[in-house]
Amino acid sequence: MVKFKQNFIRLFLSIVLMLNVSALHALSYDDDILNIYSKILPRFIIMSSIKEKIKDNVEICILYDDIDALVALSLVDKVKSNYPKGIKKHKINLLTTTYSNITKCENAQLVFMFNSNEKNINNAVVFSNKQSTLTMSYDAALLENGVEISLFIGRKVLPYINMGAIINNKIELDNLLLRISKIYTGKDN
Amino acid sequence: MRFKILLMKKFGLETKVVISVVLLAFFIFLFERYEVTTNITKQFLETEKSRNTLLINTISPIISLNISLGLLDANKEYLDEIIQQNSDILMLKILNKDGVTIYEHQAVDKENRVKKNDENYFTQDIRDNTMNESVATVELYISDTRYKKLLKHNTKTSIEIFLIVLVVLLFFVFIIKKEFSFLKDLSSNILKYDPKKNNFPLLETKRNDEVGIIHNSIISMVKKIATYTDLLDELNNSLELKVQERTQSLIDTNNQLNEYKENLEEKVKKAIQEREKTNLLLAQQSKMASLGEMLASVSHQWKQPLSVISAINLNLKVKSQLTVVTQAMIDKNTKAIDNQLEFMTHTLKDFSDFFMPDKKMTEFSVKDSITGIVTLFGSEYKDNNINININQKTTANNLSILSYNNEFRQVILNILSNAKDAILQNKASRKEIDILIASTDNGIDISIQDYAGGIEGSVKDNLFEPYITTKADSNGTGIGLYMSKRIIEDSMHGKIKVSNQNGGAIFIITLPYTEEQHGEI
Repeated sequence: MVKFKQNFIRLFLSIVLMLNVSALHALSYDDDILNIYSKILPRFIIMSSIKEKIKDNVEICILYDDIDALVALSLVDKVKSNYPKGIKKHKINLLTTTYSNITKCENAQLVFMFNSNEKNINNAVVFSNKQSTLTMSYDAALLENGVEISLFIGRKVLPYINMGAIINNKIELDNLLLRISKIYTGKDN
Repeated sequence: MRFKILLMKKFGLETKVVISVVLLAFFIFLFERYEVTTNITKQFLETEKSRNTLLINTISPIISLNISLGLLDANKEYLDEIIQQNSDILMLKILNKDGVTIYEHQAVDKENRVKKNDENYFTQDIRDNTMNESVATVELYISDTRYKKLLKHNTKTSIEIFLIVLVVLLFFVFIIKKEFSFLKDLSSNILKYDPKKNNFPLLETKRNDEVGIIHNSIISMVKKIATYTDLLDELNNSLELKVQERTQSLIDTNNQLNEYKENLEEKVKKAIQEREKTNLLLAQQSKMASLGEMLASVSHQWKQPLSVISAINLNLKVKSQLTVVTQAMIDKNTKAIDNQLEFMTHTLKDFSDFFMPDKKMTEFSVKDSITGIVTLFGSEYKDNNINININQKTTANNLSILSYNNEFRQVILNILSNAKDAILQNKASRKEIDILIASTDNGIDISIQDYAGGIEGSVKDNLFEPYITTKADSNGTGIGLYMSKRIIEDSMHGKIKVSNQNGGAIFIITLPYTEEQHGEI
């Protein structure tokens, strides 16, 4: 009954969003890319020094503006689909919340950010840095704001790592991750 | 086999050394090359295996992560890059967990076909360590062309080294052979060299190496030999002359010696004749002396029986004048006279036997013989209050020898007589003569000691020479001791010596044992 209710809400929200002007935002998210994000989210926690913060479960907080709520849920589904049994014996808890409720993410090991205004983004980055939480954004442009990880989408898709932010936040990444990733060094890159 | 042995015998030392060196060099070289090539091949295979394992182990986690993250494009680009960096990868295929090929690279041709049972073919599961599951399978086939090229290069290098070594070896063989030929020529010339013909130029070489040193040493030696040969020839000629001269001199000397020899033989004959005459004379004189001694002794021995006979005769005359002489009285006196006559005859026989030389050797007791002399001639000594003590110092009861008894007794009598004369002449206070018979390792020693002052040194040294006497009134002939020495040494093969001891003279006669006695004593 609960599952039916959730599905109904999602369907409703989808119809509303499709009819809403803000639906333009939703169209900017690529499903394949989201799928990739869903795969890399828990791995970046496990393959970094952030894993030391894990108590029982892997905690991932997804921040979105209201307009991206459905996409956020979609991302949650993808993560759960890809890691149905969790990762490395840890269950994966996914928390979706708006930027205004960012304080809910205080126990998260990773904060994923959908697009938002610069103020929200900056606040989220500052908040995450204070919590020593790994930050990842859908849009690689947010790396400029201090987000630590994103995806480079070019001829091929690669993890995009803001090495400056990583170092500043004293986070260590697995060497293997660094080998398959592209390093973000600045705006001109 | 026999043919080979004969063939080897025909080879000189030089050939054998050269062959041995070449064979040894080849053996060492081939062995070394074989060992090196084997090791290189093993090392290369291990290296290749390690490299390939390392390659797979290096790419596997990245491939695994890329597949896990769904970064297939990144995976393709990464693998393309790997293939580009490793040109010997002929085939690289990635199959996902469903067996679907998600990446494939094929660069095989006719020469390089993929053989799954080939050692260059590798396959390995790619595991996602995070999720602990197999995400794909990698198949890898690596070309061994590079390895073959390396082996070919190695073989080429080996052949090059082999050829270089061979050339160097041949060069050295040539050099060694040349050195030997140089020495062989020298040896041949030295063997033919005749210093008199001077058929070989004795020139030294300017070389400073071992061959030069040997050559120059031999030349120097040959030069010395030539010099010494000349010197020897000169010496030889000089020596021949000297030998001729000396030979002539020797011939002359020999002739002279022959003359001397002839003269000497005549002189020796004359001397021997004179010596024989002298000896005869001496023997005669000795006999006469002995005869004198005997007559003196006989007359002394006869004094008493003659007195007895004279007394009987006087008694008979007196009785015939005073009374009638009965037949019984005559018989009694006649018997008494006969007894005295028998004693006198016996005495005469004893003396006669004593002075009669023995023709045969008889075994006699030394002590008994001496005791007999003392008994026979003892009256003279008793008359002069001279005691003769005879002692025997030996474990044997009776020391006997096989010899001429009468001759021995004459010697003892002679020494005793000399002792008696010395005691009387020197008026010795101790009128004793000690005779000691002792057996020693060398024979029987008979020492006769008097205490009459001894013999003067000058006389003592020549005492056994003829005509040497110590008797002041010249009663002595000087023959007695000479004859005694001849009897002891020549006839009885013993020794006699004299020395002064205990205030008198001591004569020691040593007579050898017979073989049987030697064993007993």
